[in-house]
Amino acid sequence: MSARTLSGTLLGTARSEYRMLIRRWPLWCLPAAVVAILLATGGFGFGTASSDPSSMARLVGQQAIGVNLLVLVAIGALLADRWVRDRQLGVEELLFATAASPVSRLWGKYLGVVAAAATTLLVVWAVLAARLAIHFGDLSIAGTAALAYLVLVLPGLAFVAAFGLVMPRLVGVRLYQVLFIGYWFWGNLVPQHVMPTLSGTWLTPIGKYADAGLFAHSSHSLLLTGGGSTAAAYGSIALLAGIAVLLLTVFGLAERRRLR
Amino acid sequence: MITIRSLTKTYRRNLTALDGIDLDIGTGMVGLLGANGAGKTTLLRILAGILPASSGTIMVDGHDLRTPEGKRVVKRDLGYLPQDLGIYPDLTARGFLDYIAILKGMDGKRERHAAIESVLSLVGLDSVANRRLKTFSGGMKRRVGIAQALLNRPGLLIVDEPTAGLDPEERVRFRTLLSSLAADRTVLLSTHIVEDVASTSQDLAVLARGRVLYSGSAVGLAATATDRVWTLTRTGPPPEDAVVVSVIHRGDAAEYRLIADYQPDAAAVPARAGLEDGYMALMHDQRLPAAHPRQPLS
Repeated sequence: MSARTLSGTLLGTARSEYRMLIRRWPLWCLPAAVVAILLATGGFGFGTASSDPSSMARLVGQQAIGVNLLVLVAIGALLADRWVRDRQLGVEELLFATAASPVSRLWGKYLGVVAAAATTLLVVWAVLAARLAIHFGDLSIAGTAALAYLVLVLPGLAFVAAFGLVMPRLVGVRLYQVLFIGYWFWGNLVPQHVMPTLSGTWLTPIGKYADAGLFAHSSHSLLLTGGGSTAAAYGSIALLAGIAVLLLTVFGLAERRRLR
Repeated sequence: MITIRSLTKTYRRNLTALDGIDLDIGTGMVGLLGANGAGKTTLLRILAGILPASSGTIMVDGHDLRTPEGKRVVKRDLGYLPQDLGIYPDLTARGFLDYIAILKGMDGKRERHAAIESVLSLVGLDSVANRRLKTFSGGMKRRVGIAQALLNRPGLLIVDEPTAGLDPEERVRFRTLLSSLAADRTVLLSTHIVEDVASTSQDLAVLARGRVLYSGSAVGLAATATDRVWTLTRTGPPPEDAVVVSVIHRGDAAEYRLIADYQPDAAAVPARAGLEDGYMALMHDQRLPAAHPRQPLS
């Protein structure tokens, strides 16, 4: 199969998946509801931050972590049916009968899912960033917010989306959603000295290492194995992306073998 | 040309769906008849490259379906309409066809759009192409199904129970469409509705319990019931020794169409054998033990 056809399958699948997912109202309503409730109850506050750049960076990083902790979990649960959905809808047989590579379809679906969820998160984050800019009267916050979106929000989304595509195929959608949400809060809210979890390592998808290392949020240091540094920040981002790629690669090969 | 030799398919728990199938399928419309559970869908799924066979060989225009490369080549020239057609409800008909066309390797945007417009027109859905599929009726979804199967102008078109759930008008439209497509390609039509095959296929195969009971012309299958078809109008139940093909109740009496080796009743009148008669006679004969005596009524 030619490279052109493989890329055509990948991009075509991504485009179709994006179109289908972006129309799902829970993808918009759930994050909006979470943020609205938090804002109404005093969440995403400004604390003691000043308009000093480092103080702003800490606040932006802190709020991005908040988005990851509370909004990303909702999105991660919503994405759980995207791969198994083809079988549930009865489309799978039709797709198998084409010459399209299941690996290309998987990556296409992944890109489409990430793009759709990233769109939602971008809107949510843009609202929060605009709120910060208006409060502090400083438009340069937009740059810090954009960086936070790229290095704090997107890597977590990439990691969560990969697991959301693969794991429900093994354990079922509902069980995955329960386990995912349960582990998410247990792992991220229980202090490491009480119970060590993967959330205290570079594998934490909510971006604590990136925040501590790049946005200098010192309070994370107590929660992180080895503390926060720029190297640890980039290491965590790379590891999250790498695990996502590895998981999808292995799963893709398994699906291709299953269909031989 | 499709050549199938000694094809078997055994599922888990030793469930044998296909038991040593030998078939040759050429160009044109070929019907695949059989009751539910006969193995038709299993055979079609194997031909479509979706299911692996347990043993045996399948060659499609010289390509071996047992190899990944052979499967890939065959799939590129395949149009497949499954029995249980699934769709993406949130996509429009045009969007769905565009996606399937891409998966079929139609990378060129202009070529793809032209193919989509062509099949939409062929199945009469061009005016609703931008509507979401979840708003479509069952018949319209079926038409989308045949449209996606035709996108790549396949040399092999496999349709599994294409008229299931359609109203009579839709069924006739489908059959007419399929017949027109068979002129320059192989169309394999699987159905348990004899009328669909009778209206469209010159050649057919009959499957039962995973085996081929008959392979040949539709005329030949009908001929197996020659001199064995009777019509009988009477009150009360049909004769015990006869196979009932159809019954029409008219007041107190019923008009039976029967298969019997000998005149089942003094009032029975011989009738001309059709395809359905041949099918019923075949099904009846294969259920008889080998030494079953066919006795005339005294």
